[in-house]
Amino acid sequence: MPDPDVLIIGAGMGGGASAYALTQRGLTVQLLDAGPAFNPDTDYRLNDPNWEAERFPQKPGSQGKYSYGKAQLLDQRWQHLRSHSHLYGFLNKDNTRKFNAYNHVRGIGGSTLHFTGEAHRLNPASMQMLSQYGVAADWPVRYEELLPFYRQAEVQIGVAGLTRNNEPCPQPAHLPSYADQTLGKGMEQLGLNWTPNSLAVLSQPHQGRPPCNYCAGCNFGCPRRDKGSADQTFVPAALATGKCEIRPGLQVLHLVAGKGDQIDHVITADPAGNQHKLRASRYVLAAGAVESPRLLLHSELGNESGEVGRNFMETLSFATLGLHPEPLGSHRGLPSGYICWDFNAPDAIPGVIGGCRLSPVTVEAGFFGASIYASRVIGGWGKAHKQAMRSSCGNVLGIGGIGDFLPNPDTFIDLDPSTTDQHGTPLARINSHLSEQDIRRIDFIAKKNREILQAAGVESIFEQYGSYDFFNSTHVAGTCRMGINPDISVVNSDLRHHRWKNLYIADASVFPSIGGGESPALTIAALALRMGAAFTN
Amino acid sequence: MNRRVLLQRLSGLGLLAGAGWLFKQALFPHYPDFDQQATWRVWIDHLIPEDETPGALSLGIDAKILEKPEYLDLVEKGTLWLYKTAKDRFDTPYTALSESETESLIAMASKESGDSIPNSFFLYTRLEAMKLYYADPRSRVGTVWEQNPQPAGHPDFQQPCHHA
Repeated sequence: MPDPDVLIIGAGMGGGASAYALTQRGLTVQLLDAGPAFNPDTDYRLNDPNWEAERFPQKPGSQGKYSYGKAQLLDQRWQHLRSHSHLYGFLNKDNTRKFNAYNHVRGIGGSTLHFTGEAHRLNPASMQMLSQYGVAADWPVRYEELLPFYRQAEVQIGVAGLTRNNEPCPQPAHLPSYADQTLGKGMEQLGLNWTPNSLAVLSQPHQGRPPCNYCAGCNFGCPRRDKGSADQTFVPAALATGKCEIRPGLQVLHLVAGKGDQIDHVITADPAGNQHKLRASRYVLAAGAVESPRLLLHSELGNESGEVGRNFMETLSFATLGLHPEPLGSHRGLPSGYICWDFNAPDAIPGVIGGCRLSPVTVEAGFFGASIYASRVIGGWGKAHKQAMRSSCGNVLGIGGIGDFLPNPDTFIDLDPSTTDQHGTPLARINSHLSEQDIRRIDFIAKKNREILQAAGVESIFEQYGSYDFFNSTHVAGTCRMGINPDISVVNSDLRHHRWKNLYIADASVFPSIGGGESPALTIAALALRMGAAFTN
Repeated sequence: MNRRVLLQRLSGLGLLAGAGWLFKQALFPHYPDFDQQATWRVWIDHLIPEDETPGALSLGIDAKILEKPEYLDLVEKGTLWLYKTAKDRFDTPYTALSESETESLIAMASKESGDSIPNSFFLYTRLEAMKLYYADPRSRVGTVWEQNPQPAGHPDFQQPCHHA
């Protein structure tokens, strides 16, 4: 293939939607990813008797390496927010916060391969955090400007449900599982609203893909292809134009500057370590909020503002799980079929800036199969344990909240000064610190979780797990912030770098704020589609 | 080196070796009736016995755990603790205890302090045994997980889930 018009680095939601938008406009693209391609028929395990042994499959190259900075000290005041199990006690026994994981997948489809499928539009109020609340930064794009692209993404993906403001999505909402109905009764008792979630999971056939059959295994990789991961939606549509080539297993090591504030070429490495030079007219960086700043910092390029890597926003979450006396069968349905948006606005939590959302968490927290019930839910041993397994399986009911995370100076990505990957590139180092506001937001979620579970009839809470004492992030954002002012942002509202004229960034690293628990995938797609339109305008 | 020095050194090594042997015997005495393998199997059988579904032993869970090198040291120390505690309390090897005596030892291990050998042995071998046992579909007969999540899915997801 001759040099493409556009080289896209990263084939997750941002890269996939970019490839779709650009090929639809007649441009040729190469879509690179450091990870492999996954085959739902052979790689995913939900058909396998031993399906529970591994959550999402790990293939060579599907996990990036990264390191962590200094751990934050825990505070006695917030002892009740520590992760705890009725069988194992405190899950973090230290007096500092523990780094658990940056949950991601490298590969064609990126982290949408293991995502739950939430397809949320951002709350417009969360896009004006600086002007309205004096925190984070304002988006240089208005919600109304983004809306047509949200709708375009929802159609292409086949999103089902209701949007946050109750607008119907292209596909009808999924019906509530019995466990969701049970949580709904608790919500109703407390006067809270419980609405169908907007999900990239088909409720009707769409573009040759079947509707969901409610196995609840979205996080294990969907073998039916009804989940709208980027590899099943945007990437095939881009390939169908004949103008897209995908190249898994190629890690970009360097962006190399040329004349006139242009990127000249990139250096890539394949799994065997062979290096290649690739060139295009324009470059779209879509490697995510950890890897995109890493590549810019390592290339010593694009950080004129000093903002690359800063403003890192992580996933702030808290999950509470209990046993319900009824046979709920909470391993069925959709992991996050229903949702409560009542506290999503930035001023919805009393005394705290930044909102949250509440939704079922039973399956996402892993309570989906017999092994985990046996090891984390049912205590004891012997015949009594086996009998309890039979009578309690499927009865776990969990609710969780994801909250806003406000950027702070101690939470950022930089290059690890002492550790490199197999290509000799310094690892991205994740530095994380929770502010008092963040912890108070977690506290609010924890209290709401308990109230809701009790109102829903849960008799005993057996486990809680949250961000207070564990860094455990899936939604990450902010490290190449978009903005109007080049002195305090990295890209403009069309996602083009302020200085480097042929460099664009199309992932959550451009988010100036992360919202009150909205999942970022749909916003990433909408921004990428809007960038595609700006390319050819 | 002259002959006298050589003899002195050999004699010193011999003394050291002798002292080492005595030291080892004091710390790790030989127990003629300690059968680690049998102790381990009884322990696993007690954790997950046979009832309507097979026990852990018939699914080979004892051997599967021992295939994991990280468990070898813990199993060695834990089984020795079981043997010694059974001898101390009941004057009988662990493998010859009655059902209620075995039960009392497992309960004891579960209640020991968190960083002790018996408690670690209980927690980690229980955790691993449960994981491995319930990963085998033969263990899941009579539970809601008799079938894999796919290809059938759960079309009944809106209804209560009556256990099989």
